[in-house]
Amino acid sequence: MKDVTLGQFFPGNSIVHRTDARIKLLCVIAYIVGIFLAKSAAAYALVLVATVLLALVSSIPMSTLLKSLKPLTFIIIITSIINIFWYTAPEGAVPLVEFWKIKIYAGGLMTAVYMILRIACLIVGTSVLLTYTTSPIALTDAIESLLVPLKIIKLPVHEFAMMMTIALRFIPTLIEETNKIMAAQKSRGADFSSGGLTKRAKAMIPIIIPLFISAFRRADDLAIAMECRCYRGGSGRTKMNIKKLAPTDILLPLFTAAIIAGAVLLNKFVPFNIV
Amino acid sequence: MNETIIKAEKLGYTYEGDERNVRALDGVDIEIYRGEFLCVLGQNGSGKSTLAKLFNLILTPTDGVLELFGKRIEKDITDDEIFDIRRKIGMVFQNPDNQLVATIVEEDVAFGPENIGMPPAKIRETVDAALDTVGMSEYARHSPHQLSGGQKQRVAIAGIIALSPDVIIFDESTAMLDPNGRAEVMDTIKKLKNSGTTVVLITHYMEEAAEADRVAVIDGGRKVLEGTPTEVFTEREKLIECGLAVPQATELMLKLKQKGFVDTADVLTPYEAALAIAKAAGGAR
Amino acid sequence: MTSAELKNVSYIYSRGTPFEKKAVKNVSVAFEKGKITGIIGHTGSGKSTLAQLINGLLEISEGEVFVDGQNIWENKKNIRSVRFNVGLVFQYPEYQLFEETVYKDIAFGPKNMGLDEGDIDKRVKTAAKEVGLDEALLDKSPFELSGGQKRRAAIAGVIAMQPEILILDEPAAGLDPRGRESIMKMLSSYCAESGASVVMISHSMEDIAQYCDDILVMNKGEVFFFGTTSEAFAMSGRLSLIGLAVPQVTRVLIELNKLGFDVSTSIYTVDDAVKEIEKLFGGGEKC
Repeated sequence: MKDVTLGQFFPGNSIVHRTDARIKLLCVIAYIVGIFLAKSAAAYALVLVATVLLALVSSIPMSTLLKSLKPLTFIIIITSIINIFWYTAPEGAVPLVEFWKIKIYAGGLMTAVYMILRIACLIVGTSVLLTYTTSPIALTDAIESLLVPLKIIKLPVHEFAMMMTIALRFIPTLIEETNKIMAAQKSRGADFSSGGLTKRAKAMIPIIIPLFISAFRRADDLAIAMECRCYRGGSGRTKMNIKKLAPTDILLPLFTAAIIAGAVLLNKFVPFNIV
Repeated sequence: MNETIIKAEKLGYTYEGDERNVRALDGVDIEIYRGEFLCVLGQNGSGKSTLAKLFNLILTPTDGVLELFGKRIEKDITDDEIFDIRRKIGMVFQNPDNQLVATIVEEDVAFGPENIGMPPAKIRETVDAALDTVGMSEYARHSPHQLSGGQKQRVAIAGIIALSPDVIIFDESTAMLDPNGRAEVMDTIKKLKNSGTTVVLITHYMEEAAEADRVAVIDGGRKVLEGTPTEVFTEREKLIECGLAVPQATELMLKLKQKGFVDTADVLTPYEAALAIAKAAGGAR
Repeated sequence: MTSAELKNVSYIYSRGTPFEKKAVKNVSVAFEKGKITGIIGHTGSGKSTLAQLINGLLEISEGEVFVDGQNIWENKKNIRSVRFNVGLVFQYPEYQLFEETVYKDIAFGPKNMGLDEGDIDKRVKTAAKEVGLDEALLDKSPFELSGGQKRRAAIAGVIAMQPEILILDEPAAGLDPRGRESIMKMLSSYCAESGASVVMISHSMEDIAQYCDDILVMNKGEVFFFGTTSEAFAMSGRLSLIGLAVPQVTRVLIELNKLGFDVSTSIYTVDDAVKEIEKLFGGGEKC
């Protein structure tokens, strides 16, 4: 449990890393829109090339990116099967393969391929643009400053961001604590690795109770310490680091704008489809 | 230097419980002077931490008089008044982990200044200076969980220094640290004292009390001893009654004095003890 | 009689990664039954790792560990039963209490051993008595106890397994002088009564000097010294060399020595120091 890389942040110095987190957050949204706009084969190719390009620029190892897709294998397989076998073919389409009651159409295959591409690009793209290249703190700050307008409708934006920061601060501490408690209970013969589901769940009680008590104690201490450091909520607070946009921050927005524009144009002018 | 900044007269505090009330402080008289290093000694449950919590207004007195910077503390004190006093009285707690808020050292130190609305450029300056004072500048971009206990506690101190308070109260801030960590924190405390900050150190370590200008011993919610470290340390019986210990060097001198070999037990360090013995032995020969 | 023995034990953290670090290097020590051994060393010297190697929470990288004459890694499946024989009390053990009552918490270990109700009951009561917990407290929730009582309850939870060797990581951490003294005295009498080995990791040279028969000094993962307490302080100069503080009285004698007085520096209790210094006055010589 010690090796948990939180938020999966990989420090680096690429242009993707250096771009302001607020910009990246907006770009991710635009990028997702771009992916869903793609309809034709050419547009898909564009999105694919753009994603690979992004990954290369970010200098995140390809193997890491492929690994991030692994948990999705199941979803990819299921959607592929659905798309391939339950494809409602247009009138007069000739199936590629036909046996027993099953007919596989080229159209179904293509939809499946598009689907896989879409999911893969979505995951890799958002990872590269955001989670892998942005520190959790920068991300929290970005979310806070982008949500500021919502303060008008009385949403506790500052409090939300503060909670995120504190959670990030305490996750490593609590992981360490969990390990310590586990070791201590193991020393008293606790067994976490054998038995059925209920037995294992029961075996967690000696860990969970001390952990909760400790977390509450920490929360109490922290609240007092924060008050003693003159904390009284978000009003009247300033920030040490005011994020200023750098000239290079324009690159990613241009890039994502190009994807959207490209996808729309290619859909319209190169509506090349196998089917 | 004798300007009184904190003054308690017959100060009392009772925790109200469901089943019974606990009288944690029972009429303590104490004054804290600007620029001094006061050590408050006491065993667990003696009321010493309650005293600290009253000084920082985490609690307000149930009876008696408490004056902070000339202002008498009443039950109806407003939040703004508390805020103003907390800017002048900083507090460092026992568990270093539970007082760091941010995921990066310098951001944590900036937390206090941000709260009081300091302009960003000034925060930067203050944070850098505070980290320099505690000798943690090179760790400015580290995450707190990568630091040792002593280092974390120094970061916590920097976070308080950044608010430039007049007094800093250390509430058992060395209790959870290893000897190296304790030495680091003690060095920082001495440095602060020398630069004019008033220091109140709450502890049960006698070696730390030896460094103070003045020592007060609290037991059973009352002040039982007060004086210079040597004056207090030589009150062997009383210290033991309060669940404290006498430092070995003092204990040795007391025993030698009892046997008539030396005529003073007023020593704080092994070196001073050796000097006193040498002087007496030299004369005896 | 030895309870646990380590032969050429090494332990490597994060083996095969860039963070690889040898935390324990070629350690060979044996712990005698009925004796208290103090382990001292800086943070990161490998003391706490050593404790977890003895009860098999960490698997040794090289060497062998014997508990009660048995190589603990001979049959990996039995490692859980090794832990019943090597009681390990972590730092601030009161943070691991979890049961509804003190009784149930102390019974957790014996229950995991698979003992019957009668046996468990006997062990819980003996353990509570050994740590000085009043029987009336057994039905209380552990969270209602005072700080010192919680610590005792947690230690009782380990003692109740009646291990051959009891290892405690800083049993007196955070306690005031009175609390320290009473925990130390409790461990002394437990050691004498149970006949088990007691091993305590501590930062306090004063406590170790006063209560331990043997001392193991760890430095950078290696054994720096292993022997009796008086032997250890006979070389107090070497101890200060690796930055370990010797007891205050020993420092007084070292200072006197530096001032040109011929006094022994292998003394570590106040009473012995008084006797030694008396010599200076009763015709002792200043060189």
